Amino acid sequence: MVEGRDIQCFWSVFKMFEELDDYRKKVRDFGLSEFTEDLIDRYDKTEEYPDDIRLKALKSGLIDMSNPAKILISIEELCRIDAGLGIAATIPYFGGEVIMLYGNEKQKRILNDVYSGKYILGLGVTEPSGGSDVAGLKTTAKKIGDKYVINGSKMFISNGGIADYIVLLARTSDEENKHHGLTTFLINTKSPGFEANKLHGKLGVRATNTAELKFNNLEVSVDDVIGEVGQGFYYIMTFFNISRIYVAAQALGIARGALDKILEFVKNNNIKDEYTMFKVSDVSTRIEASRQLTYNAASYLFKFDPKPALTSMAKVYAGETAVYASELAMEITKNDHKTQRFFRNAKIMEIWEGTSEIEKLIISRQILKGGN
Amino acid sequence: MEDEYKLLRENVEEFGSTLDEKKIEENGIDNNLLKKLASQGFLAALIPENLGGSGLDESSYNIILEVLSKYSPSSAFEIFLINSIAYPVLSDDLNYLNDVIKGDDFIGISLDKTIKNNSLDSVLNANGKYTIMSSDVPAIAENENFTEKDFMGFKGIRFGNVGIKNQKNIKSNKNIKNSIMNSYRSLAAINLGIISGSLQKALEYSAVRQAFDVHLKDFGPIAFNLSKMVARENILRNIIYSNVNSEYVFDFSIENALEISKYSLNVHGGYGYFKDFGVEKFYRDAMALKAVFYGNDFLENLSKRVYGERSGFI
Repeated sequence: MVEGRDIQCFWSVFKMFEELDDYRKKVRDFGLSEFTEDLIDRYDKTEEYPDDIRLKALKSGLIDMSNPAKILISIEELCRIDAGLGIAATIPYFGGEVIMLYGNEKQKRILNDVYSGKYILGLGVTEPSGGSDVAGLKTTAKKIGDKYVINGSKMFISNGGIADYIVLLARTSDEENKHHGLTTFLINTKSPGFEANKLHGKLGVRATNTAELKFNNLEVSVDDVIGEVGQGFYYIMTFFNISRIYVAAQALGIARGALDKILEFVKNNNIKDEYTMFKVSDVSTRIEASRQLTYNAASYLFKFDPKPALTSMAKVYAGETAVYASELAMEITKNDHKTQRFFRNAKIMEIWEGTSEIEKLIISRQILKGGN
Repeated sequence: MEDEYKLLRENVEEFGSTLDEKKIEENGIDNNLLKKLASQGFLAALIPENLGGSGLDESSYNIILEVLSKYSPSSAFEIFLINSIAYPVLSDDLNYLNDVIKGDDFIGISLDKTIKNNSLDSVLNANGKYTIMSSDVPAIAENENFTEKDFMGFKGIRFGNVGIKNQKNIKSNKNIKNSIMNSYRSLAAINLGIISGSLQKALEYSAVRQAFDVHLKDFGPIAFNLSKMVARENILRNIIYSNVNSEYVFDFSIENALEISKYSLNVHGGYGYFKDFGVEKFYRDAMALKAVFYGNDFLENLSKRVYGERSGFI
């Protein structure tokens, strides 16, 4: 049992989600009309980034960063139709919260341009030698005069090949506690010394852009530091408490989309055997539990009091549910062409923004500490 | 006999290790590879020697499927389609298989009974000259053309919609459905190869990859999970080559293949999600095998085996 549960807050957020039913319908209508089968198929095959979808989603009012509940609904409903395009439409702002919470005025002006569609943002944390071990990163930013010189590389960076700016985490000093001495920067990808190599051959979410980044004596000014020097690790951990809820919403959307495929197949083929009915019940129950975990974790986030254990519970459970639902959909629909995309898309939910193993460690540590 | 099996296993291992599954998945099984599989005697493994085949027993055949599947599930599945599906249906008229077992042609296997506008919607080996139809009465048709479709697993096998002509019934006491029912042990062997291939990758990776300055293998959850999976891999190998009935063996193999290939992908983190590491294919193949061969038809067979009469149909 997680202590400190604020029931009032929990119910008010559920009510808030209910009150956004019209908005939910608007998002779904957008997805159903824009995410045509041909388009989904094309981007899944070519692995190109659908920039027109990004701009259309923005223009249609589906990216309202002032209302986090709306963002979660957009992510969930678009991923319910197709996670490749759904994530591609909602991820160009990735890392923006770090600037929103800790950035200076100049950086916030750039963020406004990101939210208006002028720029695309990315977050550079994971490195080739370590994904889960954030504090073990090897990219360095050495201060020389009033500049920092950055060297190193980043791996599996979403938007890495299309971003105009990257929120980067790098080591600025060696400290006994390796969580210290890390600093966040806002990097312009046009800067000399920046290189992005697009990665091909993902199992799923192939409309999203993923790249390896290299920094070779890339210079930034001290004004490009986000927040305080040496506090970067904590900023990124705070960000993960937000982004993991986004992933839970992605996973929830994929699970619901897989269930849509199951229900469509069961109805069209007049399947009535109890074995299948029990499976339908089971996956529906898990999806409902995922929804409640996700909205519950979001309820704390919305009042600026994120609970890491609840966030990780939502992310790990919704991720597992997406995988379970998509595997079941494959089993019931017999390898259906459209269903298999849900299967391929689902697996990343257990990997990015912290593998399920990392999430489980966070949950157990928080619980053992006596709450959240 | 044990020595012969051991020698066969070593030979298939040697051959399998030369296969480039990534290339096979990208370009499909080409004539060159098909010829190689034929020259090894794999394509006609179960066909008697006096009919031009290799005349192997079931255990030898399953060793070939298991070991090849570890390296190239697509190649193992191709061998399975010919020996376990096509050959039983066409055993009284092997003319259709002459070019196939020589590695000069493919034989289509239809997964769907429906014929619409003279075409079959879901055909494995859609690039063959003939397709065996999925009808209750065994039948075959000439392929006129095919349109490629996406099949999630076994990407080396061409899959698609096939236009057909000159459909005719075949004199045979087996159709595709009951050929599959007689092949559960061989499907389990393919699953075992998928398990071995994915586990090997995870064990190797966890021994060299570090997180938090520690090798992954030193973390309890990873070491214990992988070790338990190795135990299950060994149990599956033992029961495949035993007298345990084939429905039980297949059932045990199916969940393990999916779970273990999925976990192996997870151990690789982000790298596992990319083709280059050769792990995600095992997860796709395990799922494709389950989606095609493991449904209520199989479960009713399993229940019939347990109850001795039809059951579980409500």
